[in-house]
Amino acid sequence: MAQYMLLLHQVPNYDLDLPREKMLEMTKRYMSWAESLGAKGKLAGGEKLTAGGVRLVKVKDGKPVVSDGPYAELKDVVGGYFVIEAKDQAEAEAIAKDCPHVAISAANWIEIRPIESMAEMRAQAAAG
Amino acid sequence: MAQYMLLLHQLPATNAQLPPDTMTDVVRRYYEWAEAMRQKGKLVGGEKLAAGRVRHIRMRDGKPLSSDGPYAEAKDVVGGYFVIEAKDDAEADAIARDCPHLWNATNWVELRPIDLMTAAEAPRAKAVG
Repeated sequence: MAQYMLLLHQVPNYDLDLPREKMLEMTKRYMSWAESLGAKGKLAGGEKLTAGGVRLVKVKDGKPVVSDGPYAELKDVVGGYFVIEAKDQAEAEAIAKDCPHVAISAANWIEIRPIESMAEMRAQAAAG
Repeated sequence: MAQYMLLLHQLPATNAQLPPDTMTDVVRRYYEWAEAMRQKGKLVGGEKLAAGRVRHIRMRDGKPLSSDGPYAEAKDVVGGYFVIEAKDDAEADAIARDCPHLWNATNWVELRPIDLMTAAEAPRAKAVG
């Protein structure tokens, strides 16, 4: 088994104007999907990220500087994520294709990223 | 306590150019920071994402389609993430500023509050169904 991260991309604030019932229905679709994936032992985690409240930390003259990130002005934002378990890339893709995030809006898309097992390097780093 | 996600942005070639010894040293800095955070009860999770093998899924004509995502050609990539616990935005900022990902001037951290709405809405979402 390998782990994959699904980064849920979207247009900022596309869900801002939705009526409350519609929003709850959408939430329910994500939740039911996550629950059934969890029941199959295929879900390792996932959260919704807040729309806004983004802070960027960059290095300026050797020091970390924090600034407010643009959110509403961006073309594309990450609205949330799932971490899934899959036996290979093909299974990870099948799971991602089934994720309600892509069905909910034509502007939504998913970036699938294999998670790198760092066990070996961590052990090496810890030993060194 | 609130949870925050740190998305670790970087140039695609950042780690590919490093000599193995430097790479081990960099990994050690992330590892030691994560261990210290874990011991303080501030770390929920975190992983390194592979360089490459990126796939994109989008709807085309009502069907989900997968395609190769760019990695080496991308201007900016997410190389990994941490999920942390902090009592407020100020503490989250301080933790992010201390993150070893900022070891190089082109790396940067996107700090995102995690929306606990999902958990709060759960009973109501079920009731709606």
